[in-house]
Amino acid sequence: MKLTESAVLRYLGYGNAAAEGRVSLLIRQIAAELRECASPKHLFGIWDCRVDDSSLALGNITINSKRLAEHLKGCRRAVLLAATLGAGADSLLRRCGVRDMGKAAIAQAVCAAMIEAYCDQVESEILQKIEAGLCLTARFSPGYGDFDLSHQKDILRLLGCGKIGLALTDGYMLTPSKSVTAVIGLTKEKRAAEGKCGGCADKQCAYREI
Amino acid sequence: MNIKSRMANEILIFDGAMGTMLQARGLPAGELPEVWNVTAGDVVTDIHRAYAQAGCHILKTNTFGANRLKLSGSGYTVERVVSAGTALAKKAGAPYVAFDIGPTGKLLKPLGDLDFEEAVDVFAEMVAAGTKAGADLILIETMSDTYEIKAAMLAAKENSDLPVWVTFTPDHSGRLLTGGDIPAAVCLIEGLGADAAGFNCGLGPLQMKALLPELVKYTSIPIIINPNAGIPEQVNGKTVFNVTPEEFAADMKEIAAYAQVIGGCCGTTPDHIAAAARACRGMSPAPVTQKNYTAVSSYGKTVFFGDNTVIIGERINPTGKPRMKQALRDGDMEYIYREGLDQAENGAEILDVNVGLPGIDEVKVLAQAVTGLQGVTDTALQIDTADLAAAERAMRLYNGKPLLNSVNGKKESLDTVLPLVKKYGAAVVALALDDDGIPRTAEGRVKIAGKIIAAAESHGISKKDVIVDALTMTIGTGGDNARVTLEAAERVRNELGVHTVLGVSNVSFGLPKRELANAAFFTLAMSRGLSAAIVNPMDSVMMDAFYAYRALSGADADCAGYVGRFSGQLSQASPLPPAESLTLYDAVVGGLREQAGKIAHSMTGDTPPLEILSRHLIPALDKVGKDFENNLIFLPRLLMSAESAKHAFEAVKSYISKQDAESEAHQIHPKHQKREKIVLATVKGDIHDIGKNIVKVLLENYNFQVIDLGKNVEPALVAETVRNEQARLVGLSALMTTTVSYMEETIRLLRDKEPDCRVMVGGAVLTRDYAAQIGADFYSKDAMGGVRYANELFSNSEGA
Repeated sequence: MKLTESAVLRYLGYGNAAAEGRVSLLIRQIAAELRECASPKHLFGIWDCRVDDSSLALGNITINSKRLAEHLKGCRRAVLLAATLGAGADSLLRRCGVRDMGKAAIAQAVCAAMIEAYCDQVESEILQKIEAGLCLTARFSPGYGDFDLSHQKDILRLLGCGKIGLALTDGYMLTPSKSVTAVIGLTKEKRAAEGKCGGCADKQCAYREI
Repeated sequence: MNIKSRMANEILIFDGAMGTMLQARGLPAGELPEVWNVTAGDVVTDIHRAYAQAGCHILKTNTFGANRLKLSGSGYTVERVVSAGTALAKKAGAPYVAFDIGPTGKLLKPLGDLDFEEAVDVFAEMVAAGTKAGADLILIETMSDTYEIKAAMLAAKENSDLPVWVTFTPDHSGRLLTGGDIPAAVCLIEGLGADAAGFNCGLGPLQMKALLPELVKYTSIPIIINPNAGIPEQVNGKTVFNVTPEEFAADMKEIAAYAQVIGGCCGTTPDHIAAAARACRGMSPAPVTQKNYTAVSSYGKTVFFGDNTVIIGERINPTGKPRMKQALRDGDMEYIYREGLDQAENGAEILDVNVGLPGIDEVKVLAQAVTGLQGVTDTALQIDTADLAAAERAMRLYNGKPLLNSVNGKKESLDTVLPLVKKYGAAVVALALDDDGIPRTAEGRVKIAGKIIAAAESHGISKKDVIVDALTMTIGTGGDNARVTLEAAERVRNELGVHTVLGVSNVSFGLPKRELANAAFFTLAMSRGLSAAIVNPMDSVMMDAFYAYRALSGADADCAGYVGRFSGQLSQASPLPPAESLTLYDAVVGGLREQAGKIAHSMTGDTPPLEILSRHLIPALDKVGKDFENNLIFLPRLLMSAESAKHAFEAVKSYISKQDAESEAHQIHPKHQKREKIVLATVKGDIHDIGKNIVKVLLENYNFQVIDLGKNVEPALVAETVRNEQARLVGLSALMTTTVSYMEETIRLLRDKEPDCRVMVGGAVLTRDYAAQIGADFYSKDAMGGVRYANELFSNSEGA
């Protein structure tokens, strides 16, 4: 899993600024601690799908979301992905929060960077499972744009996420908290501007990757 | 035939997968299989029959997910789905029917948002329905969290007399998803009174076989093994299990040499079960043997009593600790959690938790301390209270096999404490005293210990779960005291065959140079076989004695522990500038927390506390706050400074608490400066609270009294707290649009009930406009903005 300091710093609001030596050191220490206590797990499945102007139909669910439909335009198959760093990461975050908020903020960012890196790793696994030549769109997650968060429930149900210890709160938040679900389209050619943040309209976002 | 007697004579066979079979018959992926009990009962019956004909003895009802959380919205009640499902299994022709209970599908607090007692209630509803419908036993299965196992088992025991069998799902390394290992799970399951225990799901027979020796080693009840038909693989979008019936049967036959009950889980079919049943026919089950070890557990660890003296950290106890008393009175639980983490880091394997203080609600605070501590550490806890209701509540909420401190030889204590120990599957510290007090002789104490052990056994508590405290008395009041204690402890260990514990530091009460007498006594006690010691792990003299003893007694292979502890100490130069060359201002601005604490401590003697705050800390905080807002420093550095200020503040608080304690003794009541109260909460539905916690530490820096309600907070609790505490400002955080609606609801309620209170809000999806739209008084994009608002609000109102 490729965890970079620049990704962690982005989540900490540094933009392109460099970290102080002590912050760099803490990032490395916490990353090592997290590798000890995290137990990353994931599930994915590939479904035939139907995309029109404003919705995605897949399995026995329909998701009404213009942004998602636009994102998956032309895709005939889509991947549902769920990944989590597990209960240990949450415990680390709580432990840091009790003792040292500086460390807690860094741990939060390290966890965010780690789950993203883990999802990237899973994507390369997915690429190996599909026919050569097919590409993946960027990950699109519930709660982003008009993709309603309540669809978390459908994704967890379709993938059977109890197996990896992933569940929802009443407000459709993922637990453990360092988890990701996403829809990924399968396409014939790599799309332009598909970098992690390239397709996002929020140019002012503090976490934007350039 | 009674299932228990049948188990002694033959290997009992469970059925295989239900979900896999239903999917083959047309159940769409992701749909609730249990609903088919009502809508397609004939299909369910067909599957049950196929398993019965395959030769299985026990059918699992199709009720795995028939709980009200999963059924909500399905249009069916738990009662209906369960009674239909149980009836279908009963008529299928197998000798026994196990009422099947799977996980709720939600995670328990603090990981998720499901309250422990709600989980118990969800399971209780199922248990009652399954029992009424006539099942022969209850099977709690596919559990991957010890806490959920506990909730389900309590529900089963409290609502049914049926046998309770429990199987959990380990990963390849033998761990549950929430981190527990096999002995930790077994300790808890046996303690709560299961009749059989084992593994199901997640792994194939081969992988379970590899974990079986560990399970056998720790388990004193019959063992159940229900594997999947291998590890699932995704082939062309479908889940496929690769182990054939023949391969399955071959492995299960080997497993049946150790396990008394076998069967299948996901991917297994009637063919798998028929092959396994054939393979195991005529085998005599292995005898179930008692494993004689003493252990307690947390959710993630097991602590064994035996070869090494177990260190029990004593610091979470307000007796003689003014700062701890203050923290308890203020509801400052994080102070307690920090004490726990510090002790665990310094070698405590178990933390004693005592919050007994006149005027506090011990039932509530002890429960809070226990649940809070287990949220941040996997160190086991010793629940230390004389309040029965507090003991029960804490043992119930403890995620593991608890250690209760204590029972004694008085009749009333035996009659009231032991039933609780039994119910919650605890180990218990037994004090060698009774209605006549503490015997002066070792003989007398051994006798009382024997009496307590007998009483425990009569309540069904094994003597391995009784840990005797032979009671340390100070040598200040009798030269013989230490000798008597040591002799009593040694005899209890050797003659009664149970483990022992001592509170070490009492031995020197009233004497000078206490640490010397304590360390020598500790060493003597260890040399006479002391199993556990209640000590202060932060006291380096004690811990030095511990490491030295281990090295000398041969318990420390190659003296690795000893060398590890001492070799690094000389060369460990501080990488940071020494405290003397810094001012408090510099230390806080530089984010040097240890130094800030030290400097503030050295200032308390001659600088008034308020001056330390206003002349040194606040200017430093203002400086870093400004630098942060000007993008000269970033969040981690801001928080490092905040933590440094907090450390300095902590030194000042300790000083004030100490002064107060002394003036209390002189009957003087000092006047405290009144601090403004601010209520903080992450709103209902939301579990992401780091933003709120950052605001909290900064506000505390500025000497506001923050009442932190935590995360996922009901609107009514916010309003109620504002009223009770007469707070004039509330800070709310929410991460997602879905939870902002609860923020809006909270604000609406506050406007209605507490119109004078101001509300500031923050969170990822909020904007100034959005905040105004939901009725907030102030929106801040970052934590410093919140601090500025609070400062302005209260300084203006002071002037008015």
